[in-house]
Amino acid sequence: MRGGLLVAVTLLASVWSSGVIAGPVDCRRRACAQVMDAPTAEDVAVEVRVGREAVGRILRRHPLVDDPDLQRYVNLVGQSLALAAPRGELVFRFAVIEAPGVNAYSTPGGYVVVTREALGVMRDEAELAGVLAHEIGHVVAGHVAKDLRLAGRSRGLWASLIRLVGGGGSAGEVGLREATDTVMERLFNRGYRVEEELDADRFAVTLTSAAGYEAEGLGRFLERVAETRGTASPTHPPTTKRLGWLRDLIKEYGSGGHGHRGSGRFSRNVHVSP
Amino acid sequence: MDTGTAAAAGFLGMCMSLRRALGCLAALFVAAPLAWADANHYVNVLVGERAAGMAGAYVAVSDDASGMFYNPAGISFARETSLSASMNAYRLVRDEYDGRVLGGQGWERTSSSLLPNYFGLTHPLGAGVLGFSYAVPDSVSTDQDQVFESLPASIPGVKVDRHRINFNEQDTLYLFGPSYGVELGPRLSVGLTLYAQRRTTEFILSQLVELSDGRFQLSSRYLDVDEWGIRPMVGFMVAPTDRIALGVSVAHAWVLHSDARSQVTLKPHDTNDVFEEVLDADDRRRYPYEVRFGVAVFPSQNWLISADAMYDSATRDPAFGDRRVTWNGAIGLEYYWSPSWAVRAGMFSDRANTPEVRNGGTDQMEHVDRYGASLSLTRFRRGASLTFGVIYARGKGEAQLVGGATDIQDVTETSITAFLAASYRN
Repeated sequence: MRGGLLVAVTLLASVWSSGVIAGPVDCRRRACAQVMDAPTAEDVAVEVRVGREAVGRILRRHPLVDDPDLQRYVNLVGQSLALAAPRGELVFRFAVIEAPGVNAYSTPGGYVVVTREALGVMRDEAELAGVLAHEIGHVVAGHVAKDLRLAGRSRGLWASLIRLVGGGGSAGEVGLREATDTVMERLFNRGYRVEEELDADRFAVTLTSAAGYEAEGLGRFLERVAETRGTASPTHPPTTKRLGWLRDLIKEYGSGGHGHRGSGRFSRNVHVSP
Repeated sequence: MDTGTAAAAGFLGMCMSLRRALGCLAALFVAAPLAWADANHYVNVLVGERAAGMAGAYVAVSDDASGMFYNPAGISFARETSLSASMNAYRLVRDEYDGRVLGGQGWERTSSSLLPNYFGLTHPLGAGVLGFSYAVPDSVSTDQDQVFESLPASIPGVKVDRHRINFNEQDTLYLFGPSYGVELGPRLSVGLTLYAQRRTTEFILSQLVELSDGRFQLSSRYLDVDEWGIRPMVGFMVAPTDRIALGVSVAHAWVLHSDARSQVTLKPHDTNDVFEEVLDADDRRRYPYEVRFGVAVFPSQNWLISADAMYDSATRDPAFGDRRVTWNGAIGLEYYWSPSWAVRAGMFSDRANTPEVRNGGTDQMEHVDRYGASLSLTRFRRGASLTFGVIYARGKGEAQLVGGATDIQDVTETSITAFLAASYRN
């Protein structure tokens, strides 16, 4: 009897610690979601189309930094991460933009941009990799794309978008505009849900480790941002919560103290003052 | 005496007169207890793709289309359009009565059915999720033909050469109606299901008894009940921590219309006269208040552990028999060993709502406490899943099959169900 109880408690404890969950809604997400929610080719085509339109709007507002070497370097770091990321059907692109504030954005379809000011706060390549991996995490998990699909399907928008992909038409153009509005609203006003941010952090820890970087890079960057710019962010969870979450993840995955920082390469390629 | 009570008394009186009439041969078998089908239990058919595999421990989970049956608050988490359907590929129930039934011979009653038992569709609407579901939580279908030979009779010097029993019973409970679930906050949701309820019962029992002196007795009983009602259910779901959910649902069925017709035809062994009795009654069956409590633990995306406790209140029902307070429990487990495969298992109790059978009493309802287990396997594809599972239950108890007699028979009940289910999510 006592032995059985011990076995049950041990089993429960191992099960309890076998997964990391970010909230009461997220905890209901089952492993089968990876299979059931996998996008179709049509979904991917629409996602890329809308993501391209959204990043176009961002670039119209905030142009690319006019430094080809810097752009190439950031893109190479991003590509090295993307190689280890799931969703091989997407072609990821990375760029640096002239925009106020320390921030990074990703749009559906694999477009990732980071602000020059954010690069100025970074000290090494592991930190840059952490930020880019976090954004890749949003794309891979489809945090915005799923929103788009849900809203689109309930309002008939999805059908319009599919027509757009299939050959254009005014309904499709309207659908594209509405979908892009939804993405921009999510990125610049509503922000991600707390569990989505934490989910992307978890992904960043895994991806940076897989790519050979120090998993602590993202945490160091966030800590420095909090020290120099304050912790308040209208679209992100409190930094203390994220730092605690990252520490727990690194401990749980056993990925602390491994990988490289790439400080020298970073300083040779990035000449941005904070 | 008001009309309803009079009708109820008449209904019961009809049953009693049948038993008295047939009681003239003590060895004769009466069967047909006052409660037919499986009104003696509240957990009869486990419905829902995930829920059935988890032995029905689903009140604190309920986050898909089958949640409308268990706790409509849970469907507020089903943020995609989802559709779920399940059917009993085969359900077999066997009641074995011991040798104290027919002159030392036992009796066995089997019921089998093949039916769709759940269909549910949910779709996000406004701040919440709207759904519609159809459920068959109780169904019995028996078609039996048995012959017993060389039985003792209560008449001195006479034996029963042959006793033929033809028994047919169809009893099904249908529920269908809309549900709505909405999140009131990040950790609290509420939901309502408004089921229309229909129960149809058809029961035919024919017996021919041939005595060794050449005489015979023939009896036939037919019963048809058609009832309509409503069964609202309100549910709540709370998440005290990120990984734990608590659920509670309260339901009660009110029968608004009931139409019952009974016909009894009897030719006793000692006369060539044929007696016939026809009775129409509108007695409304009384259902208990049903309260389900559940707790679910979500340790990871691969594991889910859930447990329910179910309370059904006592009912006073002069027409269909009194029911006592009943408590049942269920515990279920879900494990994904890969994103494409999941296994579910569970254990449950299904205790009788009838009083214990007392020594010295007559015409008492069957009392069998059942305990069971479930196991299912699910394969996931993009947007869809397919599940195959089995549910096994077994119980022992007591019954009185011979009308007017104080004899008590031991009963062993076994049921096995194979089910198929599929879900679609957009």
